[in-house]
Amino acid sequence: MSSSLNHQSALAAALERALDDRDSATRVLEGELADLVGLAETLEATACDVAPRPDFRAAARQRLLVQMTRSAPAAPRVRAMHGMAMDRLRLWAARLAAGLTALSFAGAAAASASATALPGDTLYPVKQASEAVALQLASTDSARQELLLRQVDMRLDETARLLEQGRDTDVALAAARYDETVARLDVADRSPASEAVQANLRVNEVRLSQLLQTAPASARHGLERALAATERGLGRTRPTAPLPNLGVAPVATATSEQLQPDEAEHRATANIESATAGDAGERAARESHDSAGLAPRGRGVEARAEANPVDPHAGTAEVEDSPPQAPDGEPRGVAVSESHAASRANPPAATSQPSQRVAPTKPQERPAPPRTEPGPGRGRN
Amino acid sequence: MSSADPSAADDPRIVALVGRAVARDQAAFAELYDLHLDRVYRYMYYRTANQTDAEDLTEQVFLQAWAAIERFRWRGKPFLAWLYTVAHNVVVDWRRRATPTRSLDDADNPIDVESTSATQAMSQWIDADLLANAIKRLTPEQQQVITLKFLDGFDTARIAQLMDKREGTIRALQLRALQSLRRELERQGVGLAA
Repeated sequence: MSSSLNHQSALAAALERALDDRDSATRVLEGELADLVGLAETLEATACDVAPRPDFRAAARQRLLVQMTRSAPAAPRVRAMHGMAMDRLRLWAARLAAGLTALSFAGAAAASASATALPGDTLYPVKQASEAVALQLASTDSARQELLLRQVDMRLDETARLLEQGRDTDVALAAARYDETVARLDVADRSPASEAVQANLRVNEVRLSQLLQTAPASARHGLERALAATERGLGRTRPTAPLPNLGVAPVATATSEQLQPDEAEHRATANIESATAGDAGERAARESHDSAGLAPRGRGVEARAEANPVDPHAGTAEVEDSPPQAPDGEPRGVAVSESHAASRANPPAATSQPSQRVAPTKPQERPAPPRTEPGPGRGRN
Repeated sequence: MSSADPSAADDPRIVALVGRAVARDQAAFAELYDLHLDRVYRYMYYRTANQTDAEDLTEQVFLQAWAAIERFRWRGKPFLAWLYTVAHNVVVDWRRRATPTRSLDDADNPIDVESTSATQAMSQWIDADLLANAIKRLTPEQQQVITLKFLDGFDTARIAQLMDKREGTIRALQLRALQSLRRELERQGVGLAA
């Protein structure tokens, strides 16, 4: 047995030498070694004759291109900028998603129940985690923007509900979360989607102003802070136009005057840093995005002025003409095309009227934005 | 662990294309297809001994590679090694699905023995066909060594790296692969006298 192994080992080494130096060795090879080297040469000789048919080469290439196009994301991704950090984030998000999926039935019920949870509620952290996962799984920038916009609306709804319930101390927390969510919206570019964000923020501006009319003193600071965040999102460090005529007395809070830009930025940063790990990672990715040469936030006024040179401050007119729901009733989510967003953000000029037209008497009844839950078909590759 | 760049195991052009393909650049992946199609097809042909199957499986390899390209990471091996890993999995799945009927076909028509007398005059293409029929009966590791060494032209050191084995193990596998292949060809009536 041992001698057989030694023989095989020696033969393997001899074969290797013979294959490495065939020109001089094969002439003197005999027996099994010569046969094996000959077989190796036959293999090598046939290899170059095994090639795909030219028509298969072309047809398969074409099919591959078609398949790649079908599986391509809806918008170019900025992976190069996010790199490994995004990979880790997605891994984290996938793990968290898997964890949430693995919840027991009772746990799943709790997760479902968390959808209506308010800041200060036991299930509110579950709601936050679900939102963070949804953001991480957003496959495109526009989808992410839609989700953030929906979360901004949700924060405002939470603030209003807390006020209704008299939970004034929690209002500050909800307003702070509204603040940090607004800060994460990309309002710098001038795309139709960004215009939709601006329109939505103008709606929120009106709504917050109305909430301030009836808010108790203990809740006012949080609301003022949220209003300041909204104005920053609209590109105003201080109001550049009087608040729209809402049919009520003007708000005497002058939030932006009290909150200097530096201080506001400091507060926003502090709020973001206290967010979840997913939020922190997302922020890191966003900072990376900004530092890559993209324009900073806060150019909303100029952007709007360019988009609407006639009246850059006719914000409330756009409020009415830019409903948060698509004209055809299609849910505002990743499935909504950019043309829908554009139609919301850029209403026909004939319908743009001065702010006096709007005066939403019951802003709380504004239709909530349709849900944009990621559908099963949106799974990443 | 070596501090050397793990992507240095491949040609800089391939490295650049892979980098773009990982970022979902379709044109870059199409170029990788052009550069690697012949080898992947040959890999498949010598495992299926059938042109149609080889074409189908080759196409599957590139489609699956595209689907998984974002997960690709350089680990000191050429990109082709990763493609071969995908190809190996495709073949394994195909055999698992095809075994019940294919084994019967093979038993009924293992090889055209009637043509043995004309073996010496066979064209190179027919030789490749015969060899492919014999190679697919080897163990997966033997198939891998035969393909990498004699069809792709890698040296033993590189094959050891690709297969995560020692060079001595590769030499032993190479010997057994050629011995098994010769026996298989002889069983099929194909003489390969040197």
